[in-house]
Amino acid sequence: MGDPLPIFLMVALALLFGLLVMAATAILGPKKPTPEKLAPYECGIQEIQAPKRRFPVKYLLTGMLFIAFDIEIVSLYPLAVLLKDQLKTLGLIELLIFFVILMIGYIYVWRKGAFTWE
Amino acid sequence: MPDTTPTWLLVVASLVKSAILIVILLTIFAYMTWIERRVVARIQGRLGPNRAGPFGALQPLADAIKMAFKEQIIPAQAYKAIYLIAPVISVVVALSAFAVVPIGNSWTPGHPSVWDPWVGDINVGLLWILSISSLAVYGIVLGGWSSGNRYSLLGSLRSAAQMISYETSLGLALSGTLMWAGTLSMVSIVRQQTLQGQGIWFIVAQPLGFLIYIIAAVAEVNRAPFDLPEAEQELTAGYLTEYSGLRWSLYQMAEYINMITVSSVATTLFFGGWSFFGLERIPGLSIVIFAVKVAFFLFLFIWLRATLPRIRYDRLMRLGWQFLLPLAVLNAVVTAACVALGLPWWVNGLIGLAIIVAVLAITWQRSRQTRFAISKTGAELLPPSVRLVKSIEPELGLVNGGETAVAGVERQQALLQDGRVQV
Repeated sequence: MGDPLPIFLMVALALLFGLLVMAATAILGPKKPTPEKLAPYECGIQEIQAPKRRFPVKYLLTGMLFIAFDIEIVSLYPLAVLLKDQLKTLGLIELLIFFVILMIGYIYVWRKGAFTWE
Repeated sequence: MPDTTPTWLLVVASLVKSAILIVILLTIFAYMTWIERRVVARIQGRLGPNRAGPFGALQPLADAIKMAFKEQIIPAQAYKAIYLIAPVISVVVALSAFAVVPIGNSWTPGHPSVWDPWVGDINVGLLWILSISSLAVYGIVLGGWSSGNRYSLLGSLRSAAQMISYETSLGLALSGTLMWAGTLSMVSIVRQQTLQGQGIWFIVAQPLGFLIYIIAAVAEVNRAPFDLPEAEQELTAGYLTEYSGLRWSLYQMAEYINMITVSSVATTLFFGGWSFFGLERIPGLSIVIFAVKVAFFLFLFIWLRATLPRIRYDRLMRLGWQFLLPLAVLNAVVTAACVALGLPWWVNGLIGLAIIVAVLAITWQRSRQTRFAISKTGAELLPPSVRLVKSIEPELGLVNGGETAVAGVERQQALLQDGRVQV
């Protein structure tokens, strides 16, 4: 059990499918571009200036919190898998210590207002 | 899988099975669009598409042909390469995640073969699904960012923030089931739930974990009521705004296939996958059982969309971080205690149910408070956010401290008739 080869073959097939669709759509459709068609869609209003492609820093904060929490949760998985048959009470104690530390950080960012959106 | 299997047979079997699986997924996607339109129409008292073929059953085909022959526009402001590759990322990721899902029992139980109805049974199956579906956010963010459109950019940012916010709760909710199953392989998780394994579906031990998972999963695949990335009233179509034809279809495809994947994960982890009280010994029947269970969840998605209004963005983030995440941590701790101390499954299930009831009671109590405030004179007041006359209060020097909402409306109408206040 555990041969990853079939899964990579499926990824390759999926990639092939995606590229085929993109190729098909490039060949099949008509091509009559006009400047109006190529303008960004703004509900018919002329664009005043191009969007900056920058984003509020609030999203970065969410991203950093995600990294902190999600990576720790994924590192919990091995413990969860081994808990029943091998770790038992020792595992439970480890898990509780783990969560206490995680929750201290969680309460800190909550008090700092990282979860409040205007 | 026996080690005697030659590699070429494995490759051939995997390619054939993958191709069949991709075709099945695409067919389900096509018919989900039609079923969804019909069901939502029926719920809203309309007919839905019923012209193309019997009951409109050929509608997906007509849509596909129309999409294929549409003109493809690449906006002048777009970063061309990223704009073109983003939908491919979305659909490849969606299809790949399904590779580890077992859709039925092995053909001859006890004798594994390369033709068993799953593409790959790796011992980190669930991790594969989680990690691959995290990549889905790239397709959306890159597509929205490279379009060169404000709506797209905003939609994709919202989507990214939403997906990563709910992924933490999703992962934690699943860890409870992992503690009971003691394995990450999807096939072994299902075997644990058959009569030969522990004999229970993990939903009975994990009711709270299941609820958290299903809420987080709806948010994770950007479906209503969490479909803010494509909130059409504010963002036209979010990250999809600048896409047309089959490129747009690829995004839709990814969304629906992700729906099928999260439904399959819910089925596999909480509802016993292809097992049904021993009936799964007939391999053909096990696939039907799995399909019925997944269909139930897919219907749930449509039902939710037709029923619930879209949630506001700040509330969405609050629900994810301040409500679901602590609950998921609580569930993980309770489950760990039950599993580590060797308590039976029903103890865990009862504690989970008790927590659900307590949370519902508290939420109901608090929602009553936000709906009506009781003033000192005992009259019911609307909360400040709903009061109608608040904005014109200061310059008129009027105070509406003790009056009821109805009185407030009447007074405002009187002011309007006097001509003292201009609307």
